[in-house]
Amino acid sequence: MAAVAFLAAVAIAFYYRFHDPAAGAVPQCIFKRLTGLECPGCGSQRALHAVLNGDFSAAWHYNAILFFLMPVAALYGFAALDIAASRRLRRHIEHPVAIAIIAAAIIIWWFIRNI
Amino acid sequence: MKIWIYSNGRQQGPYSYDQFAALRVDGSTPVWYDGLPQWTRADLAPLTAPLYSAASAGDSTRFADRQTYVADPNVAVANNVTSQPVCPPTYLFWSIFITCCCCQPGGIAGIIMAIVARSRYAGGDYRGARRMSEYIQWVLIISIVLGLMSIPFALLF
Repeated sequence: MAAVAFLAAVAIAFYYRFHDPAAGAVPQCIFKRLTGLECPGCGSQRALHAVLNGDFSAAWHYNAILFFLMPVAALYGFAALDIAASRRLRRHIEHPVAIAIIAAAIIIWWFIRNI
Repeated sequence: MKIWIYSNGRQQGPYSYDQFAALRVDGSTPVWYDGLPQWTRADLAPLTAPLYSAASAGDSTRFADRQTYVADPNVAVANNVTSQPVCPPTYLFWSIFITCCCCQPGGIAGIIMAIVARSRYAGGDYRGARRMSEYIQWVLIISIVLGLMSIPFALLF
């Protein structure tokens, strides 16, 4: 299972390394297609392509909140493990207030990027 | 009746009563099920105690095992730690991941629901927290399935 996930991640990384999503041939956001507005995750594919080619400023331009959300997601992924350090971490970062801050950040970002 | 046990340093289950009986866990293993106010030794919890009174009556070696097991300081610590049930998972990694990738409202819904689950847990509503945790799981699974299903349509039209 882990091996399959790893291989899939490598395959996806290769695809986005050499293929520019701006040229098409990638799934486009349904929300954006329907409403014309950008969702909080819009630009992730272009940002991934940019990062894999070392262009961090372009990635920031496509979707800035990824630079906040990706480390946060990694932190929660680590906290979900079943080791002592994770259990300690979980008590702090899964406090309702901590989660609410992240939710607020995403929703504010959603508004800002559509203004 | 669903029964959870705390064994090998982690919460396991839920098991049905028959599955639990088949596991033959040690009597000092902490167990919890709906209606039990806190984690309790399996040989003391009302539901599971009968299994042990019968088993240990004619089995002195088993009783001796249990004595040494209780004396183990690590087990004493584990019993203290689990005096309240472990908080059910909130799946926040997946919620945030979906928010970034799938362009679905499910990711944000999952994050909001995680707040609810954690608040319920902090307020002592363990059953409510577990129910919310299960809802989150469904929201995330449906989001991922819909997200994957939408890929061909997004490519075609």
